Amino acid sequence: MGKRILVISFPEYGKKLINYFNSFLNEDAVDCFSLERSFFDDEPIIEHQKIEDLFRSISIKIEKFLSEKPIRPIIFFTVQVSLPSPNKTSVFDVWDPLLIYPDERKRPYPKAVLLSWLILAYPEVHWFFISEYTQDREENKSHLTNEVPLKGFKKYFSSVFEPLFDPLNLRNSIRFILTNKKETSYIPYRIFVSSAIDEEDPYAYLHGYLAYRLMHRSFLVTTEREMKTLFEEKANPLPFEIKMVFEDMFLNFPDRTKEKLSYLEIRDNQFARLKNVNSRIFVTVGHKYNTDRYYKNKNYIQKLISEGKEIRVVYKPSGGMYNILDKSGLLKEYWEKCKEEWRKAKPKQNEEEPGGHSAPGRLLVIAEKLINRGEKIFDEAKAVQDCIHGATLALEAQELLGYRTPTTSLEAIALRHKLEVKAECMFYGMEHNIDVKNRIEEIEKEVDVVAQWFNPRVKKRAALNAKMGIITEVMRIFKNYGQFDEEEECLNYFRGLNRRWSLMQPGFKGTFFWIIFPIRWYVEKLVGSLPLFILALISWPALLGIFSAWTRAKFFVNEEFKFRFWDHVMDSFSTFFGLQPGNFPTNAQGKILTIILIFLGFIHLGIFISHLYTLITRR
Amino acid sequence: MNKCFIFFHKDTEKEKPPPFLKESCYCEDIKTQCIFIPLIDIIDYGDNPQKQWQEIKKKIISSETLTILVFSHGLQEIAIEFFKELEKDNSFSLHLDYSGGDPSYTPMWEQIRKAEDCSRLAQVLEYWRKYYLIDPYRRIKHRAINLFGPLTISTQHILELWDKKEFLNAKNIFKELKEEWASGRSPSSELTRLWYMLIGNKLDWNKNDIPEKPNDVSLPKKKVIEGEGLSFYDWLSEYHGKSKVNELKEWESILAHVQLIHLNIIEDDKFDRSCSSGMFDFLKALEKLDHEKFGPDEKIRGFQERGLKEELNNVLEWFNELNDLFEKIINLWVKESSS
Repeated sequence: MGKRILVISFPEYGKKLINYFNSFLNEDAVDCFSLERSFFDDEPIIEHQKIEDLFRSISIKIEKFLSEKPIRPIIFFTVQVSLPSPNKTSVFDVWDPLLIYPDERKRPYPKAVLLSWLILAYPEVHWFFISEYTQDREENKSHLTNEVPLKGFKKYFSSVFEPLFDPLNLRNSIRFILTNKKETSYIPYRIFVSSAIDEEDPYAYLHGYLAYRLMHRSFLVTTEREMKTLFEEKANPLPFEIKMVFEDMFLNFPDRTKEKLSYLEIRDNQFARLKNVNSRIFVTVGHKYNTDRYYKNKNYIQKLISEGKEIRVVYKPSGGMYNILDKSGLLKEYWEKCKEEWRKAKPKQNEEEPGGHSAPGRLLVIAEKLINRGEKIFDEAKAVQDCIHGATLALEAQELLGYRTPTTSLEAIALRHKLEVKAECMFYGMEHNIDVKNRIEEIEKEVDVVAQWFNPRVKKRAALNAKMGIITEVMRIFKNYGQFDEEEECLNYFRGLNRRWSLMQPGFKGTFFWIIFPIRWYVEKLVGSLPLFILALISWPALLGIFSAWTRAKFFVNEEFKFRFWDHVMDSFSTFFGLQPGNFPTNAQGKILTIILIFLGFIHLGIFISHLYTLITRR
Repeated sequence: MNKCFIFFHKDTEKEKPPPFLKESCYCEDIKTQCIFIPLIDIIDYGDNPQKQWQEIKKKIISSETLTILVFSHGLQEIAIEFFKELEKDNSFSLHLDYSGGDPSYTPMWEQIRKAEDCSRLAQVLEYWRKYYLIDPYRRIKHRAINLFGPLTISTQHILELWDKKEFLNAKNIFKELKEEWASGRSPSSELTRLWYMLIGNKLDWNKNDIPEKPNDVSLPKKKVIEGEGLSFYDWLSEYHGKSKVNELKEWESILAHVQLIHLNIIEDDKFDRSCSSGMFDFLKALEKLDHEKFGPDEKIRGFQERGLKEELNNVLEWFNELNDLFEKIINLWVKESSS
């Protein structure tokens, strides 16, 4: 297993910390990266290049450290800082990631600027800095903090929550600074806190991620110890209120000491703070083997509802992320949130000037770092948690870019969808059929929002190009995981995009445009839906049969036989499916209709059989 | 003493002097003058900085003992010569370089704009002058804490090993520490560095049991462009005035904590090592201790009352207290600002 703690310090200090950590962790769990002492001593850094170089060298080390895939990695940066917080009135450290002083300004860079870059670039890291205070302050009593006093800091390292969804408000506090700046006011800021409780990591990560997408910072609770820290009545007070919880109905923590946690009433008595949570989503397989528990839980849920709590029960397995949101009654809220982001991303008049289409350069550098690591995770992901990790990196990049800097934004969007789909496909807790409709809708809208930042002349082409690119990637993932129906749905959407794309090709609208285009559209519709295809196979001969009767087409059977209405329909069917005249046509109408029927029959049946063959062989 | 704030600001929408002010105002009650000059005016006359400074100096009303305090939004390369000229002036006291990226920027300008008269404006500028003095405090504090960080970790490590009865491991750690101390930064030398950070040259270095002046300590500079660094004591004097610093309980506590005393408070600013035994003596004794004797109950020479375990716990407490004492001084500003 890789190292779990990275110490960033000056050499003498780092050496001592490694020895100390190794003594109580009983393993070779700590790595160290040394910087010059002057950095920690707050010696002024004037040159911008120097701070850039520091960022680069620290990033290389962190990436190497993270490449060993440590679980809940910790970086202990031995600088004394006062952390950013929207609630703090007196802040001396400047946590503004966009702060730049020209070198000739000769003004020392606050080291918090560098730290803010690192914090935003590495969301999966739990950061520890040295607190300016030695005494635990009121808000830190629960040890849920990123600043530790030097004496007795050890205890803080044993209660680290998964930092990916920013439970401790660290990244969010830096975002708060950005949100309040005009140029980055588009960056979303998370006010609410939620928790995902499940002893199974994939569920905890998935639900935590969904909450994060819904603009909640999220605590993952996978052990009883974590549960106690957050929800036990006698635990240290929390400096926030938990608004929403995704809870596994049948809890069985690996470090379980408390009994009958699957009885909701007992659970709420043991972890009394759960009673204060307004919105609770119970995730369950829903079996009724233990009827006593089933009915007791059912009654307790009714009681909670009568007390005005928002309670939802979601049954496992689910049909993907959108499906969980839908069943939890959160899909509408999700779309509202998306719409709000898209509204903010719209270019304003004065932003049309050069450079106005870009996110600030510093955020772009951070976003690129996030995307690069996300891509790597995509290639190497072996578990749902890996995919969620990668998707969160992509989401962070996407949010920092705010749909600006179109090419990089598209990369982030594509990567997020790819990783989300991969997570859905890898997850055994998902139904075989995954919701693709909502995903396609989101891709469509997101790309359109990004395309607004392209030049109007290439906007439509760029959007189509991007949509085709993303959907091809998504389709490939579905194919790899044998999700045939989902792949087919993507393929249909892709065909539509491709048709729209060809419409934009220069010179396409030539002589044959009005002939080829409708045929292409028609064929796409046919192969897009099997019922529709079958309907077409029945409708064409039926309609042409009626038409034959109406135009008084004549066919030779024998001299006494008179063709009636049903004979026309019958003849039409046999010509269509037999690909040769059922009866020989004797007048012009009959001959023309026969040719049309044979031609249509040939085309339809040809496509139908090859389509059917594809369906059968791929399933 | 008269005070004169000269505020070189950018000519932007955000940096507007209060409406009542026509370049300069003087408040008789507190004998303070405030002058606001757009930076662009200096840049426009950039060819003769001496003449330029003299022109501005003519605007200063008082000719008595004067303290000139300068705020400027950056140095603006072209104006550097002018600021050098200004900083040479005998009355010059402090140059504070503010920036649009400072957390204080918006509230500072809001307060400046809202000032309804000269007295209020002078109060506002005084308040923000103090705010900008926190930065050098904090720089010194961080350097001081870093001096003892490694020792604190080793001490915790040793104490935990003793608790686990791993005496041999503890001895080995101490042996390594002693080797390190012999070749580099020993704890007592770190304490002398702290002394230098606190009082600079106001100690008779290399005399009467006081070691040589450390030559690897840098201190925050007072002048933005060039000049020597100031000790914590000097910065405190900038903030509170020399007479008040010597009455400041928090400062007195820091001195006592690091085994220093203020000698002649009225006539001369001189400090000395306190006679009563303290951390310096303990660290010296610790450095001399034979590692074979290193154990929780060992009583080292001069510290016969308590065993080494208690003494090392005391080192941790001492370190924490040092941090707290610095914080208390920094928080004086927070207290002032909230009141």
